[in-house]
Amino acid sequence: MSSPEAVALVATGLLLTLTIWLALRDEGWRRPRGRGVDPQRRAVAKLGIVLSIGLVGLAGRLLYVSMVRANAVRTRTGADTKGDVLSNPRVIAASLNADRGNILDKDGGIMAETSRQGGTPRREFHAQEAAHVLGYFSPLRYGFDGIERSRNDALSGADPLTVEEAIRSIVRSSGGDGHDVRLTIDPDLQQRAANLLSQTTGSATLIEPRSGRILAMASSPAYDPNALTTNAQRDIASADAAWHELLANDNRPLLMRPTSGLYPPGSTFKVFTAAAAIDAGAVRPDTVFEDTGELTVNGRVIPEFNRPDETRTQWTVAEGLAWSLNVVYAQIGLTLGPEKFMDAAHQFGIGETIPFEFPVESGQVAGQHSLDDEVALADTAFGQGELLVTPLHMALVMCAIANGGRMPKPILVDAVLNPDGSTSTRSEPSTWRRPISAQTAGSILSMLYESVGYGYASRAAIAGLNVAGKTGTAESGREAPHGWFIGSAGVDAPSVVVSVCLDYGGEGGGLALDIGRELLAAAAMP
Amino acid sequence: MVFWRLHRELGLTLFAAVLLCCGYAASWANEHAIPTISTGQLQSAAVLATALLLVPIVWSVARMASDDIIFPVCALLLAAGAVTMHRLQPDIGGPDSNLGNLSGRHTVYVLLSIIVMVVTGRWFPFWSFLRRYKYLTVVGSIGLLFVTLVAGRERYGARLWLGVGSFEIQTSELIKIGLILFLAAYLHEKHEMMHGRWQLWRLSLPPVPYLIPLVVLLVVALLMVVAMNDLGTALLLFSTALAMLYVALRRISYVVVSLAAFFAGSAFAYATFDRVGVRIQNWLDPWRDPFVSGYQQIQADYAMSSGGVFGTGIGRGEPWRIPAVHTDYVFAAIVEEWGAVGGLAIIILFGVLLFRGLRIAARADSLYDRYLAVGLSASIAIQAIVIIGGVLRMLPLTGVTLPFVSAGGTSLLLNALAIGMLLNISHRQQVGREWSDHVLT
Repeated sequence: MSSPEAVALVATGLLLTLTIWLALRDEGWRRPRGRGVDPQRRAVAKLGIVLSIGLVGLAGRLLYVSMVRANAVRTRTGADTKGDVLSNPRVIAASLNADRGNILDKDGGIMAETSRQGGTPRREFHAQEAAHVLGYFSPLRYGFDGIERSRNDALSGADPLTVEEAIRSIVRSSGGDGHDVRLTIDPDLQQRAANLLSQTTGSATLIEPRSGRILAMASSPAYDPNALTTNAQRDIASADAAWHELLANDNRPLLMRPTSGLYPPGSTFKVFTAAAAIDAGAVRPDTVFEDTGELTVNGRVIPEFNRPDETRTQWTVAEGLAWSLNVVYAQIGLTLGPEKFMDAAHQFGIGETIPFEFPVESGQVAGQHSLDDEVALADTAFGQGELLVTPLHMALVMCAIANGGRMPKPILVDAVLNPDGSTSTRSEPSTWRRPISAQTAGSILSMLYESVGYGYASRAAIAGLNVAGKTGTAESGREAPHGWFIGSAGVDAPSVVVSVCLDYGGEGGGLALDIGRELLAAAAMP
Repeated sequence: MVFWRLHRELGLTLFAAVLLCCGYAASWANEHAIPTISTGQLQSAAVLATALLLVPIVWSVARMASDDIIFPVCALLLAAGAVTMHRLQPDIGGPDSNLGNLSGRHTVYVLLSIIVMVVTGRWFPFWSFLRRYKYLTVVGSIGLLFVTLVAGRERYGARLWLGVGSFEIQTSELIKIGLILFLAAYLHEKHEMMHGRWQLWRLSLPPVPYLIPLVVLLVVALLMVVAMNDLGTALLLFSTALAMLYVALRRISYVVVSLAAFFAGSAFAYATFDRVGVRIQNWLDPWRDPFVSGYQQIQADYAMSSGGVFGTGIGRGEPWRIPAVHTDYVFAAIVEEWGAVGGLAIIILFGVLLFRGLRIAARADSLYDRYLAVGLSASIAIQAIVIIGGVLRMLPLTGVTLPFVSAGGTSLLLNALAIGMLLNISHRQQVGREWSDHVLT
């Protein structure tokens, strides 16, 4: 809801309140003089209050449906079991009629535009490497996705953004000039991320830890949004063919993995466990735990395969992170205890809804087994158990480490531009959560520098940059595990954070780390 | 006194007349390309506006002393309904549609409703006569329902209409007034006994013998309406009866017991009847079956979310995409074209109506009048809550009309009758008070 709308609404509310007050203010409700209070009159008044609560509820619900949730309700599309898609005909008409705005990258390059070659307008996507971010434009068939959906009002000019436009929109019902939407996406980095992922299934997210601005967000396999575009009836047959082909693909090309993919985070989650335990004062980076090659918790044996030196049994928290020692981190989790663990997860927003351009799956710390069960707590502490997170969320966890404990609100749209090119609205960076202290963040960051210095992430080192990183290998239920890498890089302090997650992509120290290092180098190198 | 009253009532009614004329003009301006719009229909706006403005004048001449806010509020709602029907006419009416001349018929019914309101409001307290025949009233209404169930005309999958030739009434609307009349008379007559206790052996119980006829008739009426598949009316009857019982007896325990019985009954209905299950499913998630059972609600959601604050403008939206938009979903049409502001205004008008009605109840001199006023004003507010709540997906949708706004002759006439009764009660209490002031001072 934009500000002129809010002003109008408040004014209407005041007027209506005045009306009600005028209707009720006279002596009718007052108790007649000289007689005692008639209890039945009080019952009548109570009945009035109960029913008017109902009416107020209606008013609230009306505002919710027609204003707060309006864009989501209006642009919602859905399919029945036969695959027929229902979408709002008004949205279709508006998006076809309007001089739809362009989607621009951070430097103003055109990623998607409406071309008018040959008379009929047609939506064209130039930046296919950002397919999932841009979404598709299929008003006659499959609706919208990505920015095309989330910013449909601005792109089609339906959403009045200034007072002048609000006044004009009262007089003129539709067909406003489309606004351009400028993203935070860096075209080179996005292209690089898409290329690096092209032979695999997975995702990569590059984000600035201070501002939360997303520089690249790629998901693979990708798809060609142009194939789904339906501007006119003649597009429908080819769009249908492309759509059914995409649905038939087991790797689910339409899925935006960074926000909609839920994965066990594997060892990358040790970053969280270390941060939680150190922030709570349960351990210090140099606290020593015993790791003899296995740990038995309530009869279950947790084996240790990661020790670089099998004769050594004493390991610090920092070394445990560098060498990814499950037995050490299981013990840290148990030392912390279920309540503090859950509390920290909540602080880090796991299971919460991330405020973002697109809906983000909220993830979970525990499923059927509560963390009160020691086996579940131990498993979760090193990133297994029933833990599920999105790659975007792990990127934000890394942001908190790299940014002195502050988790930024992720931003994908930099600004909405007026048709004359001036800025209409601009996204300001803000902190979403502050899960840990700056001190804790600093010590975790130096532990992650060490991890790149001598541990399993040492291949992530880049000459000339300070690189922090953690690999992860998460049991996937199939033979090949999910491969993870989260990390940050900067000339001095971290200037960029990466989160790479490859579906069934093998050890995190392999391809996931390579992709992460490439992206960090490209993004942070001055 | 009388002239002061005229100027307030007439001044407020002027808003309704302006709304009517502007609404017709706006939809004409937005759709004049469509040939079915004629100047004849603009004339009907003028006729309606004149009729509305005549009411306060007629009453003023006839020395009407009733509440002077209620009529203008009804006039606004009637105007909103007439404008919406006029706007929907070219899209869902016309010679090819089974709705035919929707707007024309609606205009006639609005005019008839105004006449009913004027006459009942000032001159014709028929219910003081019916008060002596309370059982006859309610049994007669239930009988009519029974006849409808056996020999009625079926429409939209429900058999609710009883007709002779081209004259038709929806008997389930009639039972509402019948039941309110019966309950008011019964609760008034048995007032003392209802507050007593029933001594059975050594137990002190509520006055069961006096509650039994009440409960039996209520349950029979409810079962009848449920058998007719008219769940909305059943909900409305039940809530209205509960409101009247609460005011008359002031026992929260009765309310609790009744609500428990209601939820038990609903759970039973949910488990037993598919139709109820489908409605609950549509309420929770219409997208489960978007092209069949959820279609109507999804179209309504689309319409309401497309309006924004000020709406698309009359004639510029596409509310005709919602099936049954002229009856059950008229509120969605208003929200789309008049915006959140228009929808809020409708809700608030019902709020004002409710409070003015209850104010009459609170000031009533006789208990019979009081119960009647409570029943009538609560039933209108509850009906509005039931249908608007259904459209907004706050409650499961049960089809009832939006009073004074939806198309449907019986509903318009009987709600006008209810308002007429309320105003008559108010008139008589005011006259009595002025008379006693005169005598005493």
